[in-house]
Amino acid sequence: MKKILGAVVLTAVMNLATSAHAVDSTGGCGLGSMAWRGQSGIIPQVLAMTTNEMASHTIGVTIGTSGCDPNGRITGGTGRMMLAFLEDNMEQFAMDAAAGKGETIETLAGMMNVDSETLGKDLQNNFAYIFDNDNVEVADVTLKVMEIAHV
Amino acid sequence: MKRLFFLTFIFLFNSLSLQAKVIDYSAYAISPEWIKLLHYQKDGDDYVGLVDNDDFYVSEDGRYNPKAELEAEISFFSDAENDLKCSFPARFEWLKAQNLVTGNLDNCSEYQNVMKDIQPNGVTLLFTDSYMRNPASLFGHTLIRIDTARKGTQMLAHGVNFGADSGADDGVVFAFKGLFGGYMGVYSVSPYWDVINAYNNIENRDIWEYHLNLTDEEQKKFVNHLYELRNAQIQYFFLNKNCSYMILEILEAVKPELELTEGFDWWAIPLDTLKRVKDVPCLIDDINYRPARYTKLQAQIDEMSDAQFSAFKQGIKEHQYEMEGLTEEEKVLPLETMYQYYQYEYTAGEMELKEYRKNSFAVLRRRSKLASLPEQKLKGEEPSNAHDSRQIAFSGGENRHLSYMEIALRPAYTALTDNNFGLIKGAGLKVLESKWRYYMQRHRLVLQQFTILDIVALTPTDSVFSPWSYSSGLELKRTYNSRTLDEGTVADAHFGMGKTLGLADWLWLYGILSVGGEYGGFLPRNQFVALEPEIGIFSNFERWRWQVSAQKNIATQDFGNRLLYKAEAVFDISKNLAVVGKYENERPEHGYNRQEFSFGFRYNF
Repeated sequence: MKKILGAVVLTAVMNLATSAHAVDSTGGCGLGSMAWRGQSGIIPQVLAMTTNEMASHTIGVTIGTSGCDPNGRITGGTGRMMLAFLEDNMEQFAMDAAAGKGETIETLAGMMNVDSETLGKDLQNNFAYIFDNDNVEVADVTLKVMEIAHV
Repeated sequence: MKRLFFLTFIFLFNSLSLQAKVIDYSAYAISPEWIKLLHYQKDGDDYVGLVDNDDFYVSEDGRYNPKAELEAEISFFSDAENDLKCSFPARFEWLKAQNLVTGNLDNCSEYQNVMKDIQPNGVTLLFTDSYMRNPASLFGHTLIRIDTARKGTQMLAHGVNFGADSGADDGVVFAFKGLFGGYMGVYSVSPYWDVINAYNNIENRDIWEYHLNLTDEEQKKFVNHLYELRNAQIQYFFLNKNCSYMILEILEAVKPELELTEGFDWWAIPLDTLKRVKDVPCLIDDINYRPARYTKLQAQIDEMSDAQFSAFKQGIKEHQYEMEGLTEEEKVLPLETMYQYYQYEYTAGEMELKEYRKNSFAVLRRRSKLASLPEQKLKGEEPSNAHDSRQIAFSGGENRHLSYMEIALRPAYTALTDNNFGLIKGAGLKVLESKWRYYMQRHRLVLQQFTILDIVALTPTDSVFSPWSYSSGLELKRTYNSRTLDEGTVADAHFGMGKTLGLADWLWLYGILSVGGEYGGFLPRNQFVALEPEIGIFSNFERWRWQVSAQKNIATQDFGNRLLYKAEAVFDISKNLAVVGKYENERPEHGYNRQEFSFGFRYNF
């Protein structure tokens, strides 16, 4: 019986401990947008493309599969930041693009230094173009957003 | 004023002694600025640095000797060739402000890179509320956000979290080591969008943002000090050297005139530390609420008209989104709610990825053809306005015609029938509650009940979600033998699950089936195990809460077979003060019944 009591106490404490103070020791990278992960294979190519097509963007840093800096910091030029941001926030971005406004659109507008209201309208009008199939790639989306914003 | 004299004194002293070329640094070394910036803690007459890794203190003896540390740093930082100052920008700036060192941090490339990425522009204290449906997380969690000057939104800011570096440990190992200092606590940085995703979207916890009113100087010191702590390791104790305690330590390092850590020697509940910060006049100048996905989803469901709601139900069931009968404008809310619902279901593991994507895009394509609507800003119950954590309760009553006075003490946290403003409705979490009872006629003091842990979570099912309700507890309690009328102490444990039905917002009906057991020398044959089905009503109406319940115990021994009826009514006089009336009627299968009633008040502090 003592053992059972001990086990119950431990279980209870464990429940408390893990839920209140669960700790992410990975440094916090890549928690977002789980549904959109696992398809980043073409990102390096896209970065190459963006560098070629849009020379004004400085995407000089090699990038891993996730857009997150190993130290957990937002870093790099517009292209790299957008890619990292969209990869982690695709779900909310898709919602905001469909609605024509929202926090992710304001954020992207800030990154690209364009007017967020105009960007919102343009993204909504082009929703079917950006998300032209159910398995969109984050890199494609990034390019299309840049294209729509004329940057 | 005293302080000013003191500073003037050390200033004069400093300039005089500079001339003499012999400087006594004692006054600097014991100044609160220095002590708190290096996290020294008084240990009798001595000091011990809180940070465990050696390189946080540059002098060999630095962790135990503030003065040696100060002198060593002055000598290292004064050497233009030595880049040690790059690792300790806050200390360097402070020493420079005291005219003890000269130079600048311009050539510190790593430091400058970090600042370029972060672009600091303010500091915000974050409190993440409890998980929905999980009262064990009622204590909450705190972290720091370094606001950013980047164009766009604060999604581009950075979150800084202090947590145990637990590796792959989980469950019992994590709990045990976390409680007894088996881990090192470390700081981690992540983009704020990751914090939002982790708490709001995956764990469904509301985030409260408390912007700190700091001067430019203090903001800079805050960020610099976090930079100093980036590799710091501090022995982690789940109860008192935790995420929230460390935030208070940092705030004190930045504003040494504050005494925030006092009183958190034994345990630091995140919500209590938030209250402490909020109690400092003018320290918080703005509060922002960021509701969790589940919170938004519930609000959207509540907002829908009947026609919209049936269109929503049909949409998620049949995946068709034309919704004839609704105007274009009316279609927006159900469509957006469906998308939130799909995301919730996917995150909860209830929907396959392929299906999730197909459904999501179908909904959103339809949504994108409709105009924007103004956003509804949700208002939450600000958690720092919840009742205080500790409770003392006095009552008087009669048990089996014997009158008694009772005093109950509880260090944390809340009972189901306590005022639940700012906490989860329908949730109770009691830790280490003791009830002492004095029987007047017999002049006898007894420990009536000692609760180690008691958790209850009633979550009503609605037309969209059907969550489980839980009840569990572990305690020592007085019980009576219905045949002999003797009283004795037993250990009691139970765990149960069930469902709650919301008859109205303020009136819930619940049924829970528990398995429980009692153990103790007082019991015939020492122990029994029982099935304990319970039904009850819980009501939460303005300042009133009441609960009535009936429980039937079917035990492995006659002794445990009984019916138990309970009623309790609570009325709030203020946030922390309530009056309580209780009634209990216990009907064992054999022997005498027991009736008890009491009346008293509860005070939280």
